[in-house]
Amino acid sequence: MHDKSGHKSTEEMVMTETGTGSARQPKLGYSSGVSQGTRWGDAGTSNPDVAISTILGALAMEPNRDKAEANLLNLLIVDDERSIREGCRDVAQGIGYSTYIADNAEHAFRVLDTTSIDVVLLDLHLHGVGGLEVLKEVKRRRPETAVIVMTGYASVQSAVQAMKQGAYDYVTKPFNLEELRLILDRVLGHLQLSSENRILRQQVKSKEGFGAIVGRSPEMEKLYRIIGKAAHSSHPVLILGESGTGKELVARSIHFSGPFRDKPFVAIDCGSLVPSLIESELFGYVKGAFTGAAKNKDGLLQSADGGTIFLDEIGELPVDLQSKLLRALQEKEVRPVGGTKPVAIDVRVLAATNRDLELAVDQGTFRKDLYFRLNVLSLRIPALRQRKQDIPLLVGHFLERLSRSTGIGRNISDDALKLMLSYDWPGNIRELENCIERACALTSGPTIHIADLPTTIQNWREQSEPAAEHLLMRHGIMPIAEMEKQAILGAIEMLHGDKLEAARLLGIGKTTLYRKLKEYGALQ
Amino acid sequence: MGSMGVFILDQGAAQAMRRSLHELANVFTGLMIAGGLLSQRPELESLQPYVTDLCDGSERGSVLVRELCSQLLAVCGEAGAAQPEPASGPAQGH
Repeated sequence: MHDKSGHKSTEEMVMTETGTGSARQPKLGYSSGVSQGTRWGDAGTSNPDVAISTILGALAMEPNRDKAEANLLNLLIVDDERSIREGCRDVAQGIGYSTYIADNAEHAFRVLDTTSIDVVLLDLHLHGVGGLEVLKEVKRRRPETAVIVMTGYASVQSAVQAMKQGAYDYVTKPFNLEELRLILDRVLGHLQLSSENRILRQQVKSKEGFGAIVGRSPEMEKLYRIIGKAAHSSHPVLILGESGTGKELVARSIHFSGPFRDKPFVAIDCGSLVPSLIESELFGYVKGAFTGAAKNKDGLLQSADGGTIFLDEIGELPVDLQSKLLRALQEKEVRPVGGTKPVAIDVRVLAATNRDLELAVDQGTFRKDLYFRLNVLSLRIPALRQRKQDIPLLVGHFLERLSRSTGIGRNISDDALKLMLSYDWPGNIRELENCIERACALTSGPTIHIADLPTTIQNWREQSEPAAEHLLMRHGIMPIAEMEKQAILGAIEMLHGDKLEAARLLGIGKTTLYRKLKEYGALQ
Repeated sequence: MGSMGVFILDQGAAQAMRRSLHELANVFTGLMIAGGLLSQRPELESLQPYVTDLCDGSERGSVLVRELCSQLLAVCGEAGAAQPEPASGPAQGH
């Protein structure tokens, strides 16, 4: 359908476009994991009412969650005047909004129903349904959405009415480019602030962990403290941990909790890059550098300029490239393949590996100077077997997430959970996540039983059960409860039965002491 | 008006004028945004005088629309009518 001017009518044009700083530029992004830094968003938690396309979403443990990757604020422009729709769209894209347009209320509602819209720019004089009714409906469907109404000069009173009904602000037609920019910038700042506040609140309140990292064990609490400190420095961080422990998630948490969160976060898996292409991928190339280099291309390090580059599996980087990377990090510049001029870069480096880099240095497979360069701060993510108390929390988290995506709620039987707690999880959280997904796919009922778990885990039961009772003692490890019992009884014996003094020296209340003695059957 | 006599504007006519003014406001908004975007395109440097004319003209037209709106509100006796900006644009030219 086309209108008189030859333009496509918006019946066909309701669409989305991603702004990248210039109205007509293509979306910036690499399939290898570039996500342009976001300005705001949720903390990647499971809070379903978070509508804002997220920032710290990157905290999300699940990189596939689309909102976490979307990065931009979604703006819906509702106006029946084509020139205004398109003009506003171009201006908003220039600011960095991801835009949607609709020429009538029905279209607008359709977009609202299918997309998480953060801001609506709404004409109060739409044909058909009145703007105030549309505003009311927008607020009903998406209460958290900020609505800016566009009103005629002769209808200031409607604007006042709109404000009373929850509009964030209004702009009077005719308005120019600068007025539009001003108001879009203002709402952007407002949403950023409120979103950051919410993220902070969520982080403080999070019952499950830090942002989207799940775990409340002492080991994880310690890790969160280090992440918090690392986030607010610009030093390189070396993240160590076994495969499947969530090293990239920690890297994202560091980036998106810190001051560079609105800058790019570029993840590079050094282990999966094709050896012959690594250099051009990392440093870029100039036109004519090799066959097929038809034009200049920025490298991934340049893409991360101003933000963070995450070098995953850094231990897999070939030695010859290690020296080039070291030079780039030290000199803060890269030299594209085939180029003669260095290009300045300003990136914060996070690296991760599951290899013993010190051993690799000793063996000569990893450069010592690069190791020292990357290892300014280091943190080790505990393996899942070292924080088994987090397993029920993780299981609950994955079940809840699956329930949200499939619409089917499931729980887990005590026996199955007990078995999972006894298993060692060599594949760590990734293995646990796969185990839950598989069990949910296989089970037909609402409860996951042992029979639904992978055979590796079921067989583990047979191996572990006979030895379970004596396993700890055999290795010279005493359960805490047993240690407590011995400490209490030993103290009373040493003090010749003086329970009050024993309680004082043990640092527990006398009521607790008596309760424990009762439990032990030692109360005379 | 004044010495020229009294005009009575019935509700229907006032509504029609409002609609027309709203359409005009739409037209000028579109022109100002388009002009603003054009003025930021460095590759159109040679066309800048025309772009400037476009921007200035649409700004002047906008001021006129605001004046007319304000007068209409006054004629209709609507309380709380916002005051228009001084109409310096149309009188100046360039």
